[in-house]
Amino acid sequence: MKKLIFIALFAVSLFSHDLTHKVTEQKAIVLSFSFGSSEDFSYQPYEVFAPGEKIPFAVGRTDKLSRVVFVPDRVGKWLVKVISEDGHGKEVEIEVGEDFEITEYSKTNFEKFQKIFVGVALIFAIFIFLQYFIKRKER
Amino acid sequence: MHIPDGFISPITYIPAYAASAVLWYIASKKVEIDSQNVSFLATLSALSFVFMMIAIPLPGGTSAHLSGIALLALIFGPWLSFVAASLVLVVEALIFGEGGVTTLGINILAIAFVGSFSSYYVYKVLKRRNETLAIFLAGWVGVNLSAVFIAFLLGIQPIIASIDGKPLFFPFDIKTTTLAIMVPHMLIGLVEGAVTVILYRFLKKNFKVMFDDR
Repeated sequence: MKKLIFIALFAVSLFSHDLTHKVTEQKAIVLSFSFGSSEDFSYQPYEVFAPGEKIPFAVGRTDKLSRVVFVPDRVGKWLVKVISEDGHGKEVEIEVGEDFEITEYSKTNFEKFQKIFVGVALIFAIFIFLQYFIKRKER
Repeated sequence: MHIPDGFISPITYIPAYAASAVLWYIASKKVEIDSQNVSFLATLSALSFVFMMIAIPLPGGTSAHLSGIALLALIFGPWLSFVAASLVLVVEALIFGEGGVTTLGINILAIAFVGSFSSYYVYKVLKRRNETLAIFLAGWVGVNLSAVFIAFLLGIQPIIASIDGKPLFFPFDIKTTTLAIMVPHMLIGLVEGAVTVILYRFLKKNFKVMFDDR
């Protein structure tokens, strides 16, 4: 009888160490880092911080395509830090809203002022054409 | 200040397009520009574009922007300012979606035409009394008259385009639009006036050649 109880307990303890898994589909946030091409920030360390947390929610390395992928579990401002061994790095804040949609994220200066750069260039280009025609007329 | 698509009825924006086209035609006959002035005009037009693209947050959750049109009008006269500002508005609407395409005619009338001419004539009338005040008021009035025009056109939409009392386009009446648009622009007009004074003085001091024949 003792043997039987021992075997039963052993079997239960074996069962309790079984790592279970399930596959679900959830909304993930994907950040792509790049100096110019898609693979130039691959396999670099990153940390993801949940809103207001000091201990990382996720740590890891960027994938082959220089991406950080994480699945937020709450709304608020998430912080992603990437730091490469050669001293490059970045902190990106991502505001996650209801339904885990991205409502806002910190943009690069180029993204912020892109419209202005392009617009100013376009206006100067138009006036350069104008100058060309005026000069032709003046001759 | 730029009105986007969907806020204005065709009964308003089609005549506005026609009026803008007529003004462009008149401008093409009146405007004279030599090649020496083009680079200066291009620079101030680009500056106007930058001013219009930077939204300044205001109390109440709204925002407004400078226009730089008073500066254009004071230096190049109202017609050339109208043409340059129109060009800026066309680029903004067609390339960047700042202001609608259907409402482009209205935005040209309000911002480029009303802004340029009101600024220019305010300056012209007042400059002998006090030039600095005249420049400041040119900036302030230019912004505010444009805003009045916009507020009026938005506010009349429920009257001219509604079915069974339900507005088809913009839903708020003139009283609401005037209050919502004019209060922020009275404040932003102060900044526009100050910026116009500073830049006009700076340019007059450092680019004298542009002001010799004025």
